[in-house]
Amino acid sequence: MTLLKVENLHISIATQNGILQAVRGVDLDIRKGEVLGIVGESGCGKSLTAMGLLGLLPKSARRSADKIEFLERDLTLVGAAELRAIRGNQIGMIFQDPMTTLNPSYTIGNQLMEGYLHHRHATRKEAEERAVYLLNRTGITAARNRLSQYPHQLSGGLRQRIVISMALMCEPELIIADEPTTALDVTVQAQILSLIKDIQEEMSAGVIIITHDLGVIAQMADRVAVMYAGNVVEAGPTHAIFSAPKHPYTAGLLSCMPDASRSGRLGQIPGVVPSLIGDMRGCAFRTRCPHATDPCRDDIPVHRDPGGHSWRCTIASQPAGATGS
Amino acid sequence: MNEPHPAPVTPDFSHDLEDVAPLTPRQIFFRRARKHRGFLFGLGTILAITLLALFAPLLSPHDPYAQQLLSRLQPPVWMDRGAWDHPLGTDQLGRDYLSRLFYGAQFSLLIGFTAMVISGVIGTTLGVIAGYFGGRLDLIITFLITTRLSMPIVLIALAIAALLGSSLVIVILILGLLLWDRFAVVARSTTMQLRDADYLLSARALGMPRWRIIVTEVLPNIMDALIVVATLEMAHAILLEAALSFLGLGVQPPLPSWGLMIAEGKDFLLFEPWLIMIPGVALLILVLSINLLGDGLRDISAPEGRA
Amino acid sequence: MSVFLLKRMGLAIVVALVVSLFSFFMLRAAGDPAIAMAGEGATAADIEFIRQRFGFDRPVAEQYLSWLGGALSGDFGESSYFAKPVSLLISERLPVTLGLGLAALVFSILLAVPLGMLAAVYPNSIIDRFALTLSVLGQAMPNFWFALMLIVVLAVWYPLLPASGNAEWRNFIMPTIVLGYYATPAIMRLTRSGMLEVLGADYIRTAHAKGIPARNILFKHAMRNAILPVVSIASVQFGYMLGGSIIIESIFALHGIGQLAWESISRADLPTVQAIVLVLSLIYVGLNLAADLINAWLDPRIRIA
Repeated sequence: MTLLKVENLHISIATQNGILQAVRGVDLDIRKGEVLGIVGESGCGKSLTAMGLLGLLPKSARRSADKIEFLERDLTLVGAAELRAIRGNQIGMIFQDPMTTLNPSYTIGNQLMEGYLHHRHATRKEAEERAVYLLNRTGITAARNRLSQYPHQLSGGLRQRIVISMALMCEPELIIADEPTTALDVTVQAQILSLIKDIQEEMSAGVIIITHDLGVIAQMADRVAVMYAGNVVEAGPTHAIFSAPKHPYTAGLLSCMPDASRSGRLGQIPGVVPSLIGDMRGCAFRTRCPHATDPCRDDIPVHRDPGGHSWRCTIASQPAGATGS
Repeated sequence: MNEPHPAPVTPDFSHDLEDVAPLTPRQIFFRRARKHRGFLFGLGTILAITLLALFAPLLSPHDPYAQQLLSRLQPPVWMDRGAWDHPLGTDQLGRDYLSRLFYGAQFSLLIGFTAMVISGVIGTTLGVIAGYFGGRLDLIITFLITTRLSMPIVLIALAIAALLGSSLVIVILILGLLLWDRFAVVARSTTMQLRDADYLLSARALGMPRWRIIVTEVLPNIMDALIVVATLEMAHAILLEAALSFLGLGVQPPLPSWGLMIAEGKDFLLFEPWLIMIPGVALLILVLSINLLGDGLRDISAPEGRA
Repeated sequence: MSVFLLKRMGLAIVVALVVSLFSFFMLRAAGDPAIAMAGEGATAADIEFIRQRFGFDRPVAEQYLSWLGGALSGDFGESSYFAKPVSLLISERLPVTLGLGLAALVFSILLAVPLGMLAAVYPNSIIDRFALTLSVLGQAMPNFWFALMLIVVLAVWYPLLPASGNAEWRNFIMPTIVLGYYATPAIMRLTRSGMLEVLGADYIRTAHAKGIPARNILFKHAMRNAILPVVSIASVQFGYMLGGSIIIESIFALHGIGQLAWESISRADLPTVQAIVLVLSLIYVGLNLAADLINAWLDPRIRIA
């Protein structure tokens, strides 16, 4: 059952130097009980894509999409009140930096219960029980006492568990996790990832996990969408992408990944991401691509194979030698 | 089938999607300045007032001290009874108001500028020392700043002026010695932010003497912030001078300070309100344009932080 | 918390002492106080009499210590003009000034905080422009001139309010507006920038992601954090207003401590001037202390630390 289907999402941001076309026609879909990973370098538009789904964009941003369908409802058409009723209730969000995502002036309990009280019209008692249950579930000791503590009294790992609990309060069908472990210590990262994975399986919720870290993708995702310069350049099942990348950018990314079974130099992609200001035609990766040719300046076709693997490139199949294997 | 893909790259794509060449900081400054209306207005007005003050002897239609008792309290030209021989009218002693206004600009600018320079030197020295050396020196200087902030400056300025007897030099000294606090606060915090910057550490590692690091590395880098403070403090000094003169403890008659002109016009507020309106509006415009210039400079050097 | 409090109070007391020390020596260094107090045309004998009467013949340090000793027990000596204890003069006049300052502060906050918040919520809107214009004008306008213009408009052209005196509450309207407007730009700018900063904070986005209505977010999540710096600046501004009351009270002929200060300066009534400097700076450091305490109470990060 399809949980969320996004077609042709565009997000542009007005800046001092012109209109920044940050997201340029992204298509995504995610089924119930599935983990979709979105991966890309910083600035490729992956976080904006996630925020754009829920309309949580800065005021200077404009969004347009052919369709953002969540459980048979088109989110591009619903009103502000209906969207609010979905946010935090049917779609939960986990943010990057647990140090700043919690309000320093209110207690953990207050912030955990706020959304539940609002969406469920529950009593404080019920909300409190639910909060304590989730704090326990996310592995927080002395859960009941935590409710009266303030964010600054807790460590980063604990805070991220609280942010996760907060996202789960109303048992959402979809969880969007935006770089949920980037701001944490490496040892804590693994714990948080497996916690998210466990809960996802337990609740059979859909999860969109956004990261720049292919290791996270390998551990978590059933399917992957690789973004570059505001576009999904390649998407498909995780194993297919890792074993046989079709787009030169994906191949480059994979060659940058340390792998114990492989020796030799780590790969790197030369050059920098192009400016996204103004219109752009053709493949955005052509300035850094070892296989670029003249047709790359024109519109780029999308290729699909029967396994659900698709890529956007002038080359119909992945060129030999690009993975460096 | 999938084997022969095209031979690697003939066309040069390396500049295909890149931005135009980056601008130098100076170019960015001028580009932003040209678009900042407040900044342009402030700069233009201050230049105009400065020119009026400098060329007051040439521009003034009359001697600002010459009393014409027969044409006392003549209203400005746009009112009934007004006439072009005195475009802004005359005061209670029959002196030409426009000429006095031009000469008054000299006092406002002179006092505001010199007081700002004195307080700037004091405050910057203290602030940089506190911020750069830290530790006990910082504690002492921070305490000095706190103490200075707790002093009722209008009252102290008035008391000193009353006891010393007021004159131009004394007004400048009082204001210069009292208004250094904001310079010190800003110099201290900006220096602190710089202290651990890599290029300062490397200068120290190279064994540069500390005073040279301060002069060649610290000062140029906190200048932007200090110039903004300087404009605000100059405006502050001009307003305080006007207040002192208004209370009779600043510039002394018959000199035409704008604050003093308002004080002299106060007695005629019932029937000749323009006597206080004209110098008041002049003060408002001068201080407004200095503030706009300062705000503009801050916007231009750091466009994100419009506080 | 209690250590924090004690440190703050200790610092406040030391600051007030240093201010008094400074003003005491400065007023003596500025000229011979006996000559100034005797006034023009006084004989050498008059001056000598005053010198002995007020103890100016003793070493300055000794004068300071005995003055301070008296001040600690509420005895500021005798006014050289009124032949009354200075403490009595001040306690008669202080309520007027404090009342005026408080009214002006309330006026200013009621004007500045809502405007600053609206300006932040609707940046670059008409209301933002209006708030900006109001604050730019407020910073540039000499307050004594604004006072005179108000008198011209509200007492002369349209005689709605009394121009001077402190017989009734209507006398306080114009002084309140003038003093309050003086403090408005700083409070408004800080509210606006604080609010803008908070509205861009991650925890505001979190609240939106939880589906909380915008109004609740504004009043619950944003306001409390944005208002913190405003508390400090409001107390600082109250201190400035007490300073500004010297000019405003003499224009509106309000019998407060500001007018007393001004009259005492022109009469070279040194004991009174000295006492007022001390009282005003004590009030000022007290206000800063209060602001710190309120901040600690509002901000859990300080409260616990």
